[in-house]
Amino acid sequence: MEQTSRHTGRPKNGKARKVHTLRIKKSLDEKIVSGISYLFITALVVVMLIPIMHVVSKAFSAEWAINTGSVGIFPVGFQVNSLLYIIQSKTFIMAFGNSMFATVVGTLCTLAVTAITAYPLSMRHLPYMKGILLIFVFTMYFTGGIIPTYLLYSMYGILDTRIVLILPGLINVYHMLIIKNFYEAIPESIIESAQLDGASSFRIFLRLVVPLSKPVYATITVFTSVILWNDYFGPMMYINNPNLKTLPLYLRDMIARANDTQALSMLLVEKNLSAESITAAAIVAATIPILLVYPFMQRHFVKGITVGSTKG
Amino acid sequence: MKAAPISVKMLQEHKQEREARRRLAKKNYDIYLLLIPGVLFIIAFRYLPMYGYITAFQDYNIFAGILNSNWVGLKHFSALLSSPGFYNVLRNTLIISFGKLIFTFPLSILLAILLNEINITPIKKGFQTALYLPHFLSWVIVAGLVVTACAPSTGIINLVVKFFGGEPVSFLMDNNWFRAVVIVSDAWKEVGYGAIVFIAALTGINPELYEAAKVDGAGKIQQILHITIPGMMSVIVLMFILKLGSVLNANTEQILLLYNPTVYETGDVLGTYIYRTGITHMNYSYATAIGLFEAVVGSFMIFTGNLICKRATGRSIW
Amino acid sequence: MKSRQKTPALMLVLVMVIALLCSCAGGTQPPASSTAPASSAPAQTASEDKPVLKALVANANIDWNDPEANPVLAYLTEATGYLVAYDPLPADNPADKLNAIISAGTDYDFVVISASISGANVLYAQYASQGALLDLKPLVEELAPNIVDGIDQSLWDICTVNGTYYAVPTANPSGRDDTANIDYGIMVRTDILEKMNAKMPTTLDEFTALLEDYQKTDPMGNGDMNVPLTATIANLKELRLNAIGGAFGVETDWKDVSGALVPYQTQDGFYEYLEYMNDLYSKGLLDTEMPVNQGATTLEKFTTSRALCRLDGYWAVPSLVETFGTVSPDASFEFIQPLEKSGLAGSGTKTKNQIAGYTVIPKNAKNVEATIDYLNMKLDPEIFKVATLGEENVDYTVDEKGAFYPILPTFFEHRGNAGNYATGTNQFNNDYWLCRARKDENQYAAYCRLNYDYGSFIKVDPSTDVPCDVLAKISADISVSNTVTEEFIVNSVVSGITRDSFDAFVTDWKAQCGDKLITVYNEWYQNR
Repeated sequence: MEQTSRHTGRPKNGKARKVHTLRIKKSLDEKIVSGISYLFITALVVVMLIPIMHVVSKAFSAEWAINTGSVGIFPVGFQVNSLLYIIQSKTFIMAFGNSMFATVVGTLCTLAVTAITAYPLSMRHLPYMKGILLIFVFTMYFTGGIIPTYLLYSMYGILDTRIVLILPGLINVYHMLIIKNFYEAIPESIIESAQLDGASSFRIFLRLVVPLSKPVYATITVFTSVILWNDYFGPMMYINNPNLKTLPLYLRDMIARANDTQALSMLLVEKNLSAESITAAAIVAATIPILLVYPFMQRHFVKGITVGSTKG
Repeated sequence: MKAAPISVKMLQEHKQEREARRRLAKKNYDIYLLLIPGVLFIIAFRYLPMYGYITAFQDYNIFAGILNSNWVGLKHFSALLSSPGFYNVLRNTLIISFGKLIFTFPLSILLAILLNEINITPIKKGFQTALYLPHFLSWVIVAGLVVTACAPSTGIINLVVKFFGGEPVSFLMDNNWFRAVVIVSDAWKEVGYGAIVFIAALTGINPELYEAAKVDGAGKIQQILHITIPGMMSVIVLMFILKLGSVLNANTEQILLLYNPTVYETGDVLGTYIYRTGITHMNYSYATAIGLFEAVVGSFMIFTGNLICKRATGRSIW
Repeated sequence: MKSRQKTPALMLVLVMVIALLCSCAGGTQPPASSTAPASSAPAQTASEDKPVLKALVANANIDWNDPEANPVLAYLTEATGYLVAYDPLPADNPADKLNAIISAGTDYDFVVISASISGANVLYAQYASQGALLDLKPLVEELAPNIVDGIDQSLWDICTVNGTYYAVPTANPSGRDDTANIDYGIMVRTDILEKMNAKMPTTLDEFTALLEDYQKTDPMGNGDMNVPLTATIANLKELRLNAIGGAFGVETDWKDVSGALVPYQTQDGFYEYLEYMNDLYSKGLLDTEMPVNQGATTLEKFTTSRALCRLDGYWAVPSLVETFGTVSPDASFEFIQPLEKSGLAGSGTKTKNQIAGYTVIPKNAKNVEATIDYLNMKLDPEIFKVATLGEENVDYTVDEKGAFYPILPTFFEHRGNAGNYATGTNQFNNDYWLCRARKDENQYAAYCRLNYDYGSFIKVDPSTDVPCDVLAKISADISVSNTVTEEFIVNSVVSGITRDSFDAFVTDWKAQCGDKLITVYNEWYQNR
């Protein structure tokens, strides 16, 4: 996001005289690109949506329809039993709550810590910053093994608690680099003038940098909440207490249960459910909440940082 | 540069530089303070667990623990590099990863740019949501969809092929097509989600630049080329370098669900090979060694990528 | 600005309150890992003076701690006086988590290593030999007479590690007293057979002719969408074991030939079998989409009358009956017998000594005697019967031959998940299990067809009696063997096989894992 533009968009021919012709040319040009954009994106949206509609339809279709492959984009033999089977249990509500808690608290904490940590690292001119940055980057690829990490967490005493869902993922270096990148695009002139006015670094950060960084915070909020909401490995490995189970685990269990045809075929036949429709219903139940995060964050993707630094 | 003889003057200059640096650091001590929570975290949860890498050089016995397991040096690494399918598998992994980089990555950027051209806000928001939906489906589901779509007799892709008079192709059983299926289906799933970060980047471009360009008579395409893309350049470079670092993680889960023995030749990647042969089953040392290998390659890639980008575009992560 | 900032903050608080409320909703289930004992209803019938036992179990397909969903839990709590709090392992990759928990020195009172965890017997053997588990032999012999009486010596033999045993084995039930169950067979659409005026094939040649006939005469009008025999890659194994392999003498993985164990990979019959399958494949009699088929795909082909034959297990029958009932009420299907050729036929299965779960006690468990007492009480013949079957004339009836029949739907409601709670079985377990098999008459009929009507074909794989510690030595090699062999099978069926490619495979297989397997298996087999 360059404020100090190196490219001013000056066309090769600087003719500003022929206003009338140029205006027609511009609108035609714009219309063509606009038209192509709409066409292309619409086509893409259709390609994305149709398979999804197919999957969602299976969640609401009858067993015989699924078994014979008759389900297209809309449900065949409409039923809501699969969805009810998934959500009508105390365990679902509990798992849902656990996931909600972990996601909300985790995202807030992660965003705060990552955003704060990225700030000093964006000041490349300060001594040792580059080295500290590398210390962080190194950890993107080098992590411990499953068992040693488990033993370490066991030693920390965080196993089987809510904290273990949040703490180990507190800083995601990948995301931190994205935030740092956005910080670096903020024109130094603004920061320097604030410094001249005698503001402390933290004040500058809080009052100046943070409000300007809403788009990237929104982005990282989306990314982090999706990761936390869908996290399977962490809860699976580090939590034993069934009461702390999160939604991905609950759903995997339900799907495994539905596919356990040997033991449960009777149950499924009685209720007219097929394993595939249960799997699809599980996806519907799991995905809808997290889908709502992005639209909420979208309003932060506001165009233009009107800070008056358009010169140059 | 010839090695200059060390002189007192040079020593003094170095000392002054260090002093200046220390003063600068002291003056900005409050900025360094902001790093404390992050550093504490990174030590406790990222560096301390690295003690586990010792097991890569042992025959780790989870009951004996690290202290009592035997040392074997580089045995696991040489075993890995000399496994029968290793180089084939490595080649496939790299081809598929770079394929994704060449295909999906620019597509995300293009998507962000085109979305930016849509001005009717509710439509734009609706489209954005629809486009990133596939990301939320697990590979179990998406693989099922792909298999159905690629079916030789009833799959939709082949129905289209037949409609245009062609011969149906068994894509998932054909070594010439399998990688393409992997890359394209991965693109379907991730291109929308991957565009989010670029969409955010675009919001940071000052609209006055566009106004100025229009007044100067620039056409849409020129605006895109000279304002939009340069405006996103730092993010593009960042994402590109980061993606380079994950070249060895070519979609193990996806390929496990899509492949079968007839396409092992082109489709077998590092992750699937390891899973299938079960060589890391109960063999945590070997698994850790492979992890270490992947980590070394990954960090090598981003260091190289960063260096190249620095030289080529002047931008880098550090 | 302020009010705009307030709304998202308010919403956030609201969301968090809801989250906290929801996560407390399930608080009635006593968690095993907390130190406080259970606080609610199910505990009321547990004795005050008996400790609450914590158990780690596999198979998270049920709500382990919910007595309403699993009445057997309430019964056991009342009958034994012990309340047990269960922590289930995850459904995916439970072995990794189990390894982590055991190696961290857990203090669960008992752990059930169920066969649903892949490599369960190897895990058990490794934990046992590494000293992570308590030696149960002295404890059981002294304190648990029910266990000593109820469990067959051959099961103890399998659990033996270094001369003693560390687990109480739960036997895998079987409807046959001398072998494990036969689960799979080729199903054929008998209504289409009628249309074709064909009869059920008994020999391989008849079978091939039937498939060819189907393809040629196209009785269902599918044109070139016909698939005489549909299958997935995974089905290839059971096609060999239970349907076609017997005609070539490869219906088991290992065979006793003059006192030595010989693997199927090295036999000529294997070559001929692959030749035959490739023949089917190249003629389009075996589904050409086989490598990419999934269970759902083959099911679809079968239920839409494109496929004449399909491999499946007897438990799939009720669902199929239901589906056909809706889409093609005239349809009927039946299992084909294991096919014969030149007098050779067979359906391979395992010995009767298969273990469904190993109940072990970790080294650091705190309530050892109470746990043994609990396990012992569960194998009291009366308690075991009621726990498995429920109440007579409420959940089940007994006919004049002593066979058990379930009363539906109460049997299922009361004892549907009872099998999961088993920590040891006695000699009546097979009879009780048949009660479960009888819960749907179509399913039971299919089961009888495979196991009794075709009983004369059953051949036992002697290698399946191997004890755990021997298995632990070769588990990695077995894994490699399976991978290498499967790849070879699929490529041979699809692309063809020659004497040369077969010989190359055998040499390669022997070098990678085969020689070691042959040696270790025979070392055990010939000295037992």
